[in-house]
Amino acid sequence: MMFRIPATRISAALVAASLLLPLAATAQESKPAAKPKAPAAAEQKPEAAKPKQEPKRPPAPQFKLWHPRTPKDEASHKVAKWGPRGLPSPGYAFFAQKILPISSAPIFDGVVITKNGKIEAIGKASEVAVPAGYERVDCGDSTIIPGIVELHCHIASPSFDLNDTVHPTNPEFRTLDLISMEHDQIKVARAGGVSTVLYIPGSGSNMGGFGTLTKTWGRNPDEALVRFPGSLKIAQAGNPERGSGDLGSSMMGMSEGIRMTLLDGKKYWEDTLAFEAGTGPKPKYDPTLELVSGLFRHEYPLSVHTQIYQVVLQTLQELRLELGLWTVVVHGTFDGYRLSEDLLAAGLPVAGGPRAYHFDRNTGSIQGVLANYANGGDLGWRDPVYGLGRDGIGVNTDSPVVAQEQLTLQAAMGVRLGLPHEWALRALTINAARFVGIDHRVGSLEVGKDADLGIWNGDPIDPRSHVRKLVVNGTICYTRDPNRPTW
Amino acid sequence: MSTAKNNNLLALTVAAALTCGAIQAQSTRPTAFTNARIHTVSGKTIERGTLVVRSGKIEAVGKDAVVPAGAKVIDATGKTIMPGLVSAWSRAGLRAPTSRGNTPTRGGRRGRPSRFRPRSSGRTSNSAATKVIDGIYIRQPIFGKLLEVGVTSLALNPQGGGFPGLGAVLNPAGKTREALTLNDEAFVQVGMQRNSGAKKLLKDTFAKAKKAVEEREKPPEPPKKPEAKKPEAKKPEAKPAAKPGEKPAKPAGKDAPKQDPKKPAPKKEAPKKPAAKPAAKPKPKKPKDPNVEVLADLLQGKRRAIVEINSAADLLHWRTAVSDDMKFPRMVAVTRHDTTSGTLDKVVDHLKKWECSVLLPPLLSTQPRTSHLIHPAKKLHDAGIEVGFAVGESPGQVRAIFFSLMELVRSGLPADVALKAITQVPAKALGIDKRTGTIEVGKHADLLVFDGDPLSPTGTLEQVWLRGSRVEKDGAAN
Amino acid sequence: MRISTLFVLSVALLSAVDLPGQGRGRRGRRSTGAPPPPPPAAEAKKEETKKEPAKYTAIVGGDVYVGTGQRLTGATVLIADDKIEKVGHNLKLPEGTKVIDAKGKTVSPGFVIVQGAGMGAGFSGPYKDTVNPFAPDIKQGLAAGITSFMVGSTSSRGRLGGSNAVIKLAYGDVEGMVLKENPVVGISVPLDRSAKESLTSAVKAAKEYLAAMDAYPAKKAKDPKAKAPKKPRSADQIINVLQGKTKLWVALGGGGFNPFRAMMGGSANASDVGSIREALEIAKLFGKGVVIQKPTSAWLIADEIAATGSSVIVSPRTRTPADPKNPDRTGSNLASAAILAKVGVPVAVTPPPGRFGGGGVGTGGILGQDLNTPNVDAAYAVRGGLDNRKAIRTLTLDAANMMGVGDRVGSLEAGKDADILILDGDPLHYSTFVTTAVVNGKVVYEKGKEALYRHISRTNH
Repeated sequence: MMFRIPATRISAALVAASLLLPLAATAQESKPAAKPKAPAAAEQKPEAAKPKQEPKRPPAPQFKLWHPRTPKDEASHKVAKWGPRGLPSPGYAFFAQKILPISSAPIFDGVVITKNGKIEAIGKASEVAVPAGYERVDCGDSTIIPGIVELHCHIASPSFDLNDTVHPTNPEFRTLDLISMEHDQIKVARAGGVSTVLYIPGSGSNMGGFGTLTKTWGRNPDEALVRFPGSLKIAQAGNPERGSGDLGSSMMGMSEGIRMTLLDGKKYWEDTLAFEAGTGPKPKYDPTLELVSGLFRHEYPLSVHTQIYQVVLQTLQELRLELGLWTVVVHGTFDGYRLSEDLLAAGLPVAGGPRAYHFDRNTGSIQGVLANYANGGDLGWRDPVYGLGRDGIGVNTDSPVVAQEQLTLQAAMGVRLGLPHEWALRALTINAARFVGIDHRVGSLEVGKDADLGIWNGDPIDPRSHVRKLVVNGTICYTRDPNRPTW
Repeated sequence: MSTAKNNNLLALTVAAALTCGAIQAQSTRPTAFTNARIHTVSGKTIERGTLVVRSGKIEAVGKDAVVPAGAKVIDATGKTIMPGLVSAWSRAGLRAPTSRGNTPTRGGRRGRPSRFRPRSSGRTSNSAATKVIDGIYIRQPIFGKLLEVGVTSLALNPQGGGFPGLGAVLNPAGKTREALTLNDEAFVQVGMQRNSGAKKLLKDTFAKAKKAVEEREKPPEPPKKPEAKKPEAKKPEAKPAAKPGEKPAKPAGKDAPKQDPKKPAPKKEAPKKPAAKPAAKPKPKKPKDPNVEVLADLLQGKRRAIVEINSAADLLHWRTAVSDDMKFPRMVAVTRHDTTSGTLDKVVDHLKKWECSVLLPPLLSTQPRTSHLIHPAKKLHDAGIEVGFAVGESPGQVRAIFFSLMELVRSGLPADVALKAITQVPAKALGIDKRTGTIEVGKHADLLVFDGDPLSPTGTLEQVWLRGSRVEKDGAAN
Repeated sequence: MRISTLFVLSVALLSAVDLPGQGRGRRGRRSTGAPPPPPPAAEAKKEETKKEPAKYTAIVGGDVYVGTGQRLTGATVLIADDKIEKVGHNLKLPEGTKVIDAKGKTVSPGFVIVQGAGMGAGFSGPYKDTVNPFAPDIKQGLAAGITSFMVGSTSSRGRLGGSNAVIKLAYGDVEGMVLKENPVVGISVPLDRSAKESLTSAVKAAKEYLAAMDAYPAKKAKDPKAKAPKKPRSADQIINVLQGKTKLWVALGGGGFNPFRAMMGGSANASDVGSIREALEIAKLFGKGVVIQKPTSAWLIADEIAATGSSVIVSPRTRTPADPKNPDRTGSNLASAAILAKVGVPVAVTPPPGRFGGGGVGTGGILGQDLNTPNVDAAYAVRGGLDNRKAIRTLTLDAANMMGVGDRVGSLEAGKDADILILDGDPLHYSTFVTTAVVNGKVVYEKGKEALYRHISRTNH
């Protein structure tokens, strides 16, 4: 970049730069292979010289998210704070040509009935009665899908100072304090059909702090809250790498910093359990360790910013297998997709992006990140691998790296490069909700779930389509003006 | 030049003559290598034969060659003999080594090329007539070191784009300028660069050269008759205005401006008259540009060229600046390994039209942005183009050439082509192929003796022979 | 000349002894290299003047998007050498025509990109001397549907300037790669007072000169002594614009590039109505439409822009938030392209500034911030309300006209360059891939033959 940043903007520039780093890592990896490789005969040996007589593998098992200790309902959560449900909202009956509930078959000429923040009924218009007093909203030839869920958002606040890097790890920070409902980016996010976001700190340090799951609209942040913590943000490579001399600047150092903090939390959890079982004293209250212990209770997951094969493997090994934590890989870009089968086996899902492709310099091919994670296949690595499949793939924008309202574009690019269209819709909705444990509230259009609806004028994944209305917690919080469309 | 310097030179020359004389005395006794495997390069490999060397030349070679009486016999069982290496691309000796090594500096921060500067190996210029040998320091250890690792004929290529000068062929054992220089104008160096300045220079210079060739081939003009000037007898009008001293020196046109206010009419005529001179002298000929004359020689086939064209893109650009009609004997040299502008196998059709040989780096390339290996040398060879390899500019590089060739051979290049590429082909490019580059009767005994085969990983270079004398460790032919 | 005397002397001396390596070349010098064989005789030039019969290629059976907005179902595009000969239904094909089957596919003009970099273009002009026709990202550009693009600078502070070229992705062909050098001259606003004055007087002088040149033949007929009008100094650029030979592009400066702000979505200024109006003043001064580059507020004064015959380059996804104190008259509008098109202003699209993608096709990975998917920008113009059918013009004819090469590229019409794409679906659909790309009549890209995308099968229409 050839521009000059004035001295007064250094701190701002540093913050911007710290977000830019993982994406500038391309420059590092782009050393041209000028030197020829070891004496393989040029052009003569085929790439995969394995005999094809191997028995065909059975189809991949279905992806099952791993978090065995999660409490069975919201009330049983000891640490996490859940937001309100069933807030007052008018009774609506939304009629549309096409309704995609996601968790069940598409409904043509259907209706969705909502009131007081929840879905009361859904079905064919000819079969479902509209209760008296409910406002009929005729959406014509629209397609209604659930509100979209974003798993890696940095714009739920007008300020952009999500990286405090004083300590090597910063589990004491929380984004809950920053959320606002009426600034520019969140408004446009609504116009992009996004109803729930996981708003997390940046990746300036290995452990940036606790993120918040929030709706993109509410009368105030408390009403918009879905759950705090949404997740603990961990960044394992790229951005947190600091100059030499700083603590934790090597991969080993970064892993150790994360491990130490998490083990402290684990001890706190064990001590608390012992206390609850009556076998030990009450541990001294520590609000931060309390939050970390919640991870071990599987009340909420880790959001791990991780990419390239080596570091995604590190995430799998350390966080999921060694420490036994409910983990969601976010980004997973470059060649991390080679681990799709290992992640499938461990129940570790991936919300891929914002880089939609990896340019593979061995073959000179463009590899779709989401497609490869989801489909697996012969990725030029060991034997062909299973993919995460329909239920293990998610997508994200890392807003504002990609603007929040362009989450559907991310999905579209994933589909372009080979992700099945249906799986892309699931990635935007139910999968995202399930990965972070809020699928009992959002992610699909089912009776009893939150009334979060996106009313689109066509295929939501097609960039040419737009949102006509967005309903969050039963309130129509966005209506598009064709002369001045917000998005 | 001072007399003292002349005397020194004379003394040196005599000393050299005497030393050579001493060498000569020793090498009149023939040497015979027996039971040797001989890569003649000009023909098939002789599996077990005899090689006889006398007076610095190859006297006999063959399976059944006879060992002359009194010969010093060297039993070469298990050894392989091949011609000495001919380096057709080298700047060894051109610059004193710097802290960065013997490589051209390219500018930009930290010695790395500035990102936005077009690649160049120096300034472009037309100095075609300059001899590169004039710019070097004669006694440099590098020559001897190169000889020790097998370079028996060494080129010296001028640096720069455009027409940096005349390259030389060196005898690496030489310690004086005379001894060192076998040919101080062996070839014309031409450097192609992909930028406007370089292309314009090439275009304009070749155009001038072509004109010069036409000038040479023009039939001589009939002599001019003095009567031809009479019709312009209006001159006397101009004379009164002309000053006396100026007539013979300046053409009348110079006087014209002074006449302007008085007589506008003569103004038009005066410049056309040949000078108001008493005698009908022929116009002084414009002095010929020696640089252009060198290139005119080239176009007439009297010289040969080594043309540095590093990529297919550069070659296509060359063709837009220099038409294919400009035919001259040339070897195309690729001196930088750049795959993003296309390896030369992409323009093989044009190379065939040029009927030239091509000097390549001894490497496999990769298809850009992949790890897919390609073999430009094999591709060119398969298309019928003679391929040579640059053997290197430092002893380390030269020692490594055989390993590079091994890889190329394992990847499909015939072994004999590989050996030819570092001997006969570069010799042809330098114009010394009648004397060296192969093992044939009458040629110089420039030999490499290997224990084992040169293209085997266990082969070791044991002896280097230059003009029939074994090269000792300090590089001097003894 | 002393040395040569010495040489001769030493040669004479030493020739008495038969030393190795001592030859006796001509002129007493020690050059012993045999002269190279004489070059072969020049070929007869007669063959070159004989005109070769045209090579025909025909793309048959596809849905042809002409590039003007018109669509022909199941039509044929006939190519002669490097030009389009004819487009229509049931065309009669000359003998020996190479047929490319496009049944079930769409055919469209190659995309024309108003701002690009890399893909074989050098870093500065003259571009014809530095193009690299083997640059690996040329194939990537062709895979994205790009067949020509503008490279270089199209703006200049205070006065007309800029150095640019339109480059074609004619893989392997040096001369075919440069379509036009400096088709565009640029200027950036705001102009300070003195710059404005000097521009105004320079244009005035140029116009007077041109008028005088028009009147000169008549004047000279009457008075043989009449002097030819003198061309004002440095007027060439202005004259070229006045005569329509180059296009004038106006960049809207002020505010500078703020990377922070850019990340958060948009340029620094919530409103640039003033700058646009200044650009329109320049258009009126010249009496020619200008091309306004990436304005924020063009949608507010679309009629004014249309009145000057100017065009606009839009980046639909670049969002500038409105000023909350004046929300209706500030900020960008996704419907900008639609609003402009409605009143007849030609619109071209370009992706948001490459935060991580640079100006070319790139391998950074974030699709949509580089040139790997130019149809996405057109798609967002459609999202904003632009008619889907007309939207292709933002990548073809309208872009070409703005770049001053509309006579050569931008639509599938007889006489234009044969720069043609065969695609596997609607060119603006996000899953559509280019299956074949033709530039200057030659097939230069085939999806199934290049490693880039051949492993990706389209499953979604």
